Amino acid sequence: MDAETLRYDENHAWVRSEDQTVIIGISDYAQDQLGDIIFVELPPEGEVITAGNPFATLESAKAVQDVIAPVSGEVVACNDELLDVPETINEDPYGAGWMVEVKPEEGFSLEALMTYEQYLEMLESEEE
Amino acid sequence: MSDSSVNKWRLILSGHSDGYTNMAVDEAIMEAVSAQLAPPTLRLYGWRPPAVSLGYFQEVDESIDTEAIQERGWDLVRRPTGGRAILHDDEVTYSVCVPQQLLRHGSSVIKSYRELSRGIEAGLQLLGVAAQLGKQPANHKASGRDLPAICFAQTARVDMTVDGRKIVGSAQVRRDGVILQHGSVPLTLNPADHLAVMPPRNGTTGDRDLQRAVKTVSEAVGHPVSFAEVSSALIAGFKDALGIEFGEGSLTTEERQMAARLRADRYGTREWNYTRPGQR
Repeated sequence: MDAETLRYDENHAWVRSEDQTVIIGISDYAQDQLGDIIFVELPPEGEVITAGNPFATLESAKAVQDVIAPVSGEVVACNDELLDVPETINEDPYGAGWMVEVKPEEGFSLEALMTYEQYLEMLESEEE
Repeated sequence: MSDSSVNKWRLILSGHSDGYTNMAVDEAIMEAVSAQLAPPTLRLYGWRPPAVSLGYFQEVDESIDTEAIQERGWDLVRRPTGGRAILHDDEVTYSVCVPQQLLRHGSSVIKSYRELSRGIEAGLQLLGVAAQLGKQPANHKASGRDLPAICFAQTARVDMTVDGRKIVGSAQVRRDGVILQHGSVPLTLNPADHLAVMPPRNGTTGDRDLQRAVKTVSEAVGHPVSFAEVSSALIAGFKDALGIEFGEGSLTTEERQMAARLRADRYGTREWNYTRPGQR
């Protein structure tokens, strides 16, 4: 998947809009900052996640880190392959490394999230 | 230097506690720092009775002998942080809770590790130990294969070593923009105890592998060093390397209450300690 077509939030999650749902993962920057990911914990299908709250946990060789939900809604699918091959997030964060598919709550708009360009600007300002 | 550039941290010297309390206190401090109820904090502590701590996601499988741990009257506790198992016995443990933004490289796991490790490196240097970051032990592969559960048998590129042998085992958790990094600095190490509670794979003895992978502070210095000596050196090391001013303090009432709750509801429970997240 092309990083430029995705939307982002300030916690380094990306969001891609499908028909009735959205797909969520973490950005290339986020996976790079975390290092080699060795374990992934995902929410069960049917769980309702809330924007701004943790919905998944990642462990790299040296750290455990929550992933913050960019969107509120119900989890309709999880990328269970990550449980066996967690490093997929490092290798293909925008494609095979997707984490969950969520049916967003009513009123959700992709427009509230950053474009790729805006996300890059945020990263640059954070680096300063 | 203006006042605003003074980096003021709290120093907590906890002494020795059981494993459940130690993990509950570290997390309570992290929560307090996160809620801006406490300044960045360096805590130094020990473990009594000895305890085996597991990484957050680590499985309790045949590589952890829970019966051997219980027979000895030791604790088994799951950490909030990543990594592999450590037998905490004769050691100084440090824990740092700091908002990411107060570190120069807070957003990167690897770089923040290096940044915080400079404090430990400087502390060890004060004891005359030339520790280095990221040198793999000579038999890294062999020990890693047969002793897969043991933190000190594995060396990552951000671990601290002396003569290629691991001298500090550290791990992090990051939540709400706050880093908790804690780590074990063994003063001495008894390989027989380690291998009894964390048995090697394939029926190997593991003894030589473990000894070649680990170096304790007493070994590196060449004579026995005390908990107090290493604690003082670490405090001075963090102070110098990170430009910190310490005020000695204690847990706040809120932190004590939170730690008691975390100990009762999480770290002291079998459910938390024996079952991996996601499998409960």
